Amino acid sequence: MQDEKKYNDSIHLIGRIGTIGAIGFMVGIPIAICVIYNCFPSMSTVMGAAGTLLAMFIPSAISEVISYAPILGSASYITFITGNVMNLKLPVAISAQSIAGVTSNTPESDAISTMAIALSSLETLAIIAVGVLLLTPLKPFLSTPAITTATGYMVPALFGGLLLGVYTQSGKKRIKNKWILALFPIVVMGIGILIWPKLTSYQGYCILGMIVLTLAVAYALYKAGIVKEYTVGEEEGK
Amino acid sequence: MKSYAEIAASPVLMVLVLAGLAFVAGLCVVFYRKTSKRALELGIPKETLDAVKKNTITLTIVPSISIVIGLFTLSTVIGTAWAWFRLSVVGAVTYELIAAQMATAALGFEEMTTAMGSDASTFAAIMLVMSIGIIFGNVFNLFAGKALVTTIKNAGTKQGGFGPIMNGCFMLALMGVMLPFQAIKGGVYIAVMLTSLAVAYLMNLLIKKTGATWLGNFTMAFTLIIGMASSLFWLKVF
Repeated sequence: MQDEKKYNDSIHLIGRIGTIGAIGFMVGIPIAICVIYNCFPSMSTVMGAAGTLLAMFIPSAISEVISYAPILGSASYITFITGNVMNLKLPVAISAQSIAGVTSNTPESDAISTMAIALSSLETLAIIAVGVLLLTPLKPFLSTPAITTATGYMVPALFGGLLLGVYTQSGKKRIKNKWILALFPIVVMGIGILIWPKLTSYQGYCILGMIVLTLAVAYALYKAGIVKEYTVGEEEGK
Repeated sequence: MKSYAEIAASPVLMVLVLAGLAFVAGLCVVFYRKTSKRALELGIPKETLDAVKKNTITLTIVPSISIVIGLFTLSTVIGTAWAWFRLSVVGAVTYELIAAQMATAALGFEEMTTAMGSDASTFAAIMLVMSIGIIFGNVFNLFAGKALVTTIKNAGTKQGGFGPIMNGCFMLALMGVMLPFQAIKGGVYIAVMLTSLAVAYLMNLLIKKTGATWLGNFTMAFTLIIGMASSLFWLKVF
C-alpha cells in the first residue's frame, strides 16, 4: 500500500511537471517569437479571439478530463499533453487493457495504459517528424481521394474493432448480467439522439452524463442483487 | 517588421519547436520506462507487456498517418514548424483550423490566405490564440487530475462488491455514447463499424483455431485498416 502510494505520488509529480513544461512551451514559443522579432500583437485582439475559443472549449475540456481520467489513470497527463484523445489515445488504452486482461481503475491498468500511451505518443511524434521530412513527396499519395475518404471513417473503424474487447468477458472474475449495463447507455443515448439530434454536438457532456447515469443504474442493480461480480465455476449459477 | 511568411518559415521558430518536441518526447520516455518497470513489479508477465507494445505500435500507425494528412492542410496556412508543433502537442487539425480562422477574423481579415500576406504580428497573434484557446484541459488536469484519478481508483478497489462493477461502467458509458453517435451519421458508418467488428471476431477465431497467438498483436491494426478501406465499398452500396 505504501509502495503504491509512493509510486502514485511520483507518477503524478512527473505528470504535473510535464504538464507545466508543455504549457510553458505552448505559450512560451509565441512569446519568444514576439520578443525576438519585436512583433507583439494587440493583446485586446488576442484575448478577444482566445476568449471566444476558451468559452467554447473550457466546458468540453473539463468534461473530457472528468470523463476520460478514470479510463486513462495517470496516462491522462501524457494524453492531454499530446492530444488526439478520441481517435488514438483512448483506443490505445482500451486495447492495451483488453490484451493485458486488466480492468480499468486498477494499478495494473494504470501502468499498462500509461506505458501504451507513452509508446504510442512517441511513435506519433516520430511519424509526424517523418511526415514533415517527406512533406513534398508524400503529399500527392496521401491526398488521393481514396485515402482521404477512408481516413474520414477512422473513428467508426476503431470503435467497431474495440466492441469485442469491451463487451465480452474473459478471465475467472466476471460480472453477472453485465449485458444490462452494456445495453443501458446505448439505448438511452439512442433514444436521446432520436428525440434531439443536436445532442451529437455535445459529445463530451453526453459521455460525462452517461457515466453518472450508468453508475447510478449499476449501483441500484447491485443493491438489488441483479448485477454482481462472480468467479467462474463458483457462483455462476446463483 | 518581418512578414508573416518570414516568421512562419524562420529557423528560430523551428529551433523552438524542436526544443518543445524534444521535451514532450523526453516526457514520453520517462513515463514509458517508469510504467514498464511498474507493470513488471505488479506481476504482469513480460510476454504480456511485449504483446501490448506490439499491438500499440501497429495500432498507432494509421491514426498517426491521418495526423500527417492534417499537417499538409495546416502547414499551408501557418507554416510547417508551427503546424508540426500544434499537431504534436494537444492539437487536432479541426481545432487548429478553427482557432487560426478565429484569430484571423478577430484581426479583421476575411480569409486566412489574406492574413498570410500581412506582417509578423498577425502570425504572432495566431500562434498565441491557438495556444491559449486549447490550454484549459491541461490546466484543469494539472490541478484536478491526481485527485480525480486517486479518488476513483480508491473507490474502485475499496467498495468491495461494487468496485469491480463500477470500474467497468466508465468504458460501457463511453462506448454507449460513441456507438449511437457514429451510427446516427448513416449507413456507411454503421457498416464500417460492423466490418471492423467482423474482422476482429474472425481474427480472434483464427487465433483460437490455429494457435497463432502472435496474430493478436495485429488484430486492431488489421481491423482498423480493413474497416477504413471498407468505407470505399460501403459508399457505393448506400
